Amino acid sequence: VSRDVVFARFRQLPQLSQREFAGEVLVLNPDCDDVEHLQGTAVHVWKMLETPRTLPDLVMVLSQQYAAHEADIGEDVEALLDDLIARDLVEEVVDVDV
Amino acid sequence: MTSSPGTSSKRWSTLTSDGSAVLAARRIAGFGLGSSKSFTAPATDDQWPQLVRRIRSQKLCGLAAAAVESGSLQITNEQFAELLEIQRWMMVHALHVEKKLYEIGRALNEARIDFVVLKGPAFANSLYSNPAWRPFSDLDLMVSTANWRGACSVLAAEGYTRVIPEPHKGFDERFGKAAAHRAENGFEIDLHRTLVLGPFGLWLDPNELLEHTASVRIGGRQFRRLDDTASLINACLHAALGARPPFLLALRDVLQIANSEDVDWALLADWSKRWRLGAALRYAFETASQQLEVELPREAFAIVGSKARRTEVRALESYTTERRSRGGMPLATLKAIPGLRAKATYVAYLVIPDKEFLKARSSGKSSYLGRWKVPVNWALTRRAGRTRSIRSEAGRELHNEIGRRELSDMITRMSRGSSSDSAEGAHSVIENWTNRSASFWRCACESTSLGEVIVKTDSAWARPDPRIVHNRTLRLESLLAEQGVMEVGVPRVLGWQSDPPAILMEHITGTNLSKLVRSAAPDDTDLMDRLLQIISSCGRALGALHRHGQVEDSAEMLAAARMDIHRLVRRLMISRGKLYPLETLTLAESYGDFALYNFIASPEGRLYLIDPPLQRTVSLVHKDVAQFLTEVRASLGASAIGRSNDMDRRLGQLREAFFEGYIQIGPVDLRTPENAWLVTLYETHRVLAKVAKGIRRRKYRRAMDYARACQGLRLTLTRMPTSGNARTELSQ
Repeated sequence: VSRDVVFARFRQLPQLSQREFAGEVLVLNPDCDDVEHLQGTAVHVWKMLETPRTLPDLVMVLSQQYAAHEADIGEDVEALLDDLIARDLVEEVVDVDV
Repeated sequence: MTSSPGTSSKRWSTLTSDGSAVLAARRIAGFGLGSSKSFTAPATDDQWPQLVRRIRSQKLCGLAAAAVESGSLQITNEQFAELLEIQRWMMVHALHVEKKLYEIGRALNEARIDFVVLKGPAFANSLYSNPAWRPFSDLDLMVSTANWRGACSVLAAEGYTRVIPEPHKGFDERFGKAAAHRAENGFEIDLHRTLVLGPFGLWLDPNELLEHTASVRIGGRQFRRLDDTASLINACLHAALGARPPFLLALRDVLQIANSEDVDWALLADWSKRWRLGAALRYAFETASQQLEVELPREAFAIVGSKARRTEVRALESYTTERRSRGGMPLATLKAIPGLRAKATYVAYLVIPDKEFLKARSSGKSSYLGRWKVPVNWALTRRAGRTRSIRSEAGRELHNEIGRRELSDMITRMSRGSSSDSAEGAHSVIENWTNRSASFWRCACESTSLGEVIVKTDSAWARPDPRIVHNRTLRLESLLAEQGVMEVGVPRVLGWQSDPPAILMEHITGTNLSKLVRSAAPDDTDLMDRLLQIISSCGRALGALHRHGQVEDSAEMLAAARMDIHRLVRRLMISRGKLYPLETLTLAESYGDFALYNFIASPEGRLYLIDPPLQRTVSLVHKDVAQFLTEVRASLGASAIGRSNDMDRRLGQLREAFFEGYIQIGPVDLRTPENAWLVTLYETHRVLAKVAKGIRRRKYRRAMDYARACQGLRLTLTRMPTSGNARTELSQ
């Protein structure tokens, strides 16, 4: 994990419309046409991203929740984060203090 | 977001029986609002489809999913998966509606037009604890009357076309409620100027309402919505006046908002009084509380307990009773419009609307005559309704007598006579209705052995008749089974009582066959194929009844039948020379009322025959056949097929299907010229009698249905082959 990723903080885009039910989340970015469907671990990550979080934060919380080693899940969480960013659901918080 | 009141107090363990698809839906609609009613019966495979249909049509999937998650509603994993699939679909749609809101909101803001978001998106995102509980499918926006034209222009610039044009320039601002605007992809926006059509919409002051707004965050953007008090007015008017019967989700909105802490009840009472909304608010609160079995907040008691003015009650009735389909709303609107000049303008706009409006309202055919027929039909049906209500007085007395007693006790008592089922326990009346002499209550039983039941009483019954109905029903059931007509059944009679006379029956979910035929359209080949099968089964059923009840030659009865035929021939002015020799007449026990309206087609494809005859009468088998075919003619005449050129062909097909079914079991071959001729003779007589009766009773529409259906009947009779040829055929 590069230094940029370690310190960068991520959050949900503010303009999203979303619905949560039965442990799943549907999200629509009004600038796109597709509704994204999140389930399982993705929902946990998604809910954590309601407030800005770094990747190590996410990995640490998930490793505690799922009783897994951070090293085992780190790559998966990073891939998920990349995917959410690629789908225009998550953005990096630009914060001059960091 | 405000919190949902009392989210933990409502619990029920499992779904009840079919009946309770209705009850279950109501309880789902009330989920989280603090009722303590519990369910005990399990959901079975045949009950689930009914419930899921209701959940979908009433948009209750979000609440149902939440109820399952909380453990209040127990269904199988497969059923939950089906439920979630519907919920996903509805939520995807809701998210797209919100996307449209961003787009159109931006355009309205740029045009500096203030607007508020009404109903779905506003309620879901501000008044429900979870927006997923409140699906919505369209977008309702409200603007002030001053901004109405500007907002319409913005929508037009954004690619939305008004679905129905204004009846006349200026109508919208003076008398209109809203206009639907549709995009090319079919998405619709309802642009409102006031909350509701008709008198209540005219009485309330939309400008004052628009002064009471709050902010709602939808996605990442802020919009204006009506504040909780004004939203409660909106929800109540929508629930009470929007649809008949009210949508469960609309009733849920009423209770959801009524439980908000931010409702200003003093202001609501003031508006209720000043805007004459008392009757509508009371109706909405009472209906919501009753249907969802949820108590109202104490603050609502003052409104529910207040006495509404006569004008309000009359206005409400124009929405909530059958007057709605008889022009009740325009008439009530006319009364609510102040000033003679304005009333005259309203009438003129509606009677002589612009051509464009006329064209849009009548599917492309612009005809003033067609439009003027509408109020004439309203007037005629209103008059016929009055006649009917006088005739049903005896039935109503009996209805009241039973209504005064505890229905639950009656059901329990009656069901004790049934060997296999018990209906002990609580019962809820789902609906009740009356016809000329009979009254019906459809009730859900919370017992495990009975689902939904019907209690029927009939003022025409003498004291011992309920027992006879019971026995006749059992006999009919075994007779059909004996003759191998397995596709036709009889609703079980579960019990009866003599005083007051009533029977308890199994409730059959399905469509009345008469209604099914009426819904047929010329291009609906699937339905026609299904109808051909159904009518053939009806033929088999009647054939079986006649085969079983066939009467051996009785000289007296045959002579009476011949005299009857000769009498008809004279009345219909058919020459004696064309008569067949009436030597092979077949007599059987008659069903009497063997007609489409006494059949129910269940969704599973089974037919149920109801109302068995109480008295044993013997007549020509052709009479029963003619009775059935006459009703087929009338129902088809009332359908879209009846107004098309396809009537003769379709009727011929149905007739042929019936004959085919009948001759499989029945005692006579209806296709022989003599039998076909006799059937036609009785059909002609029956159709003409029905037309005359319709005219006499001023049921002109019904008379027209029969008249339309009798085309070609006399023609068939008079064109029968000469008796010489027929005699030859028969003698062979």
